[in-house]
Amino acid sequence: MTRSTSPKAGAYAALAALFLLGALVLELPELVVLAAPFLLVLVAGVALAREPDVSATVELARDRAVEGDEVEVVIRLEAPESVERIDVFLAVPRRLSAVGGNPVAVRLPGGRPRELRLTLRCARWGAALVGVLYLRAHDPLGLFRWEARLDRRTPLKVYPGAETVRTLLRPLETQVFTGNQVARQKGEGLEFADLRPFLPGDRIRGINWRASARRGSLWVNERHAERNGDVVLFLDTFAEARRGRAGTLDLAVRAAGGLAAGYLGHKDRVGFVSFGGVLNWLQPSTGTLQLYRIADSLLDTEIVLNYAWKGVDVLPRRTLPPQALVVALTPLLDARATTALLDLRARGFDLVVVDVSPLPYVEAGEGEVGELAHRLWRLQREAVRGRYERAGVPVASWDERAPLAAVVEEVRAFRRHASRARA
Amino acid sequence: MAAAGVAGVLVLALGLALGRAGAVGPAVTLVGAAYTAFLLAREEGATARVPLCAAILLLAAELAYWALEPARLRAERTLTVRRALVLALAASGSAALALLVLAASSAEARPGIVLELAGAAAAAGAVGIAVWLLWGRAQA
Repeated sequence: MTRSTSPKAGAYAALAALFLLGALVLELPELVVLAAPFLLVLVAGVALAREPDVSATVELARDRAVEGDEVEVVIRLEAPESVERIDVFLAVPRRLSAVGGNPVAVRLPGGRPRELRLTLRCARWGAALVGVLYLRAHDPLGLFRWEARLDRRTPLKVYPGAETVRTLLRPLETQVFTGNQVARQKGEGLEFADLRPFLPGDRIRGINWRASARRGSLWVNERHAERNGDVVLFLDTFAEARRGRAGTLDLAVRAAGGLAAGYLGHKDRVGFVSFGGVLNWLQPSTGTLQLYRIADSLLDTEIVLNYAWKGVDVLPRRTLPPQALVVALTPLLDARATTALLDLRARGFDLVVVDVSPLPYVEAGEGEVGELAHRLWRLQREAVRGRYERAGVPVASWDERAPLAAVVEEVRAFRRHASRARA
Repeated sequence: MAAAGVAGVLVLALGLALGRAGAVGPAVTLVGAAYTAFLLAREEGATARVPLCAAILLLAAELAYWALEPARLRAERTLTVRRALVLALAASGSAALALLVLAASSAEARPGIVLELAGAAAAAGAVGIAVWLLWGRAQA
């Protein structure tokens, strides 16, 4: 521990010296009496001061939490000899906040461990290292202090609070594995598709007896197969709009978490692409393990400033399987992302764009010019949306005031409308 | 006299308001200077109260340093009680010591070079301790 002298020690020594000098110069013995208490404290303080030998550990009650949760931190302190007073401060990472006393001053009895419990609130999703501890021990009279910085960091993963999604967008095309999506193809399933004449080899239970009685020959029911789908969550991390603790990236991450959980719950294969300054991807897969993989990838998601032009060519081929539904979560702020998405559409992907609206986080500048610039920017965004719609891509705007289900419904309405238009 | 005392109180108030520990020393010095001026112009009988004043000066300085600790530093109750006890002990002990010093200074002693030298050495020693402590702080 590093020893230092408190301001009090210097001030008391200076006061005592001044009073003693004053007594000599002014020939006033009463000033010696004034100096005596300060000298007494100094002498006693020096005599009682012992360098403490404090050891500490930091333990988290759990290493995973969801945004908004509270996590308890246990700090264990131990010293062979009593420490009259020790100030303990746990450095709290940016994404977390301490509830209650931090820093805290306690007395540390010699030879007995002392436990301090501190509650941390997980204010924002992300990975954090908790456990940088600052200790400051004082002597009984507060003249000297010993300081130490202990690095006892342990990781804490704070997952984003996922948006609840009850209904999901169905991929236009399904894959070959069994799942919960009703496929266009006929096969073994529950949903009725059509009737056809009985053929040798057909199962008896497939016969539609009513239709057979009406038509005088055997007819069987055909059904839609139930297959899984491939869904790729495409997160645009080139830029974000942010005000205070809220921003478009937070919303997009929450939506991605909710959609991933929803699709994986329906036995679909889900992949993840974080497309931005730093490229990050996960190949589509199914199951709970994939959900954890996606959650961990979401924790690493951040906006990294980058001027390099990137297209979808930089993505590994298997990341975007053919006939996959690509759900893009983007604030439509960066031309690289918007162009890459149009490129995906041109390659035949079933693309849905969720426009995580930056409008609540952006205010018009002051004056007429600021207002005009804001209007132009909004028009530019509308033009980008128009480009997508002309390419047959549903674009749904979403902000934190609306549930994600509203977006799903908007895209469904677009698809219904587009189907009628095609018909 | 009164001006120095008022200035000391003002400096202390300002230091407490701004959270500057460096203001406590000058504030106590100013109050001490005012009291010195009072002692120089005193009438008979004022000397008996000097130990009390000395203890009060120390108590004021200690309480000021306590008040200057960060507000968000939460101290447990037992620690606060112990600290208050230590403070009371220091104040009463210093009053007793001051009384002792006062009694010693009132005793009949033959003035001479030896006593003068002892006094000068004590003063120089105190200055030395002050310089050493301040230098240690500057190094830290």
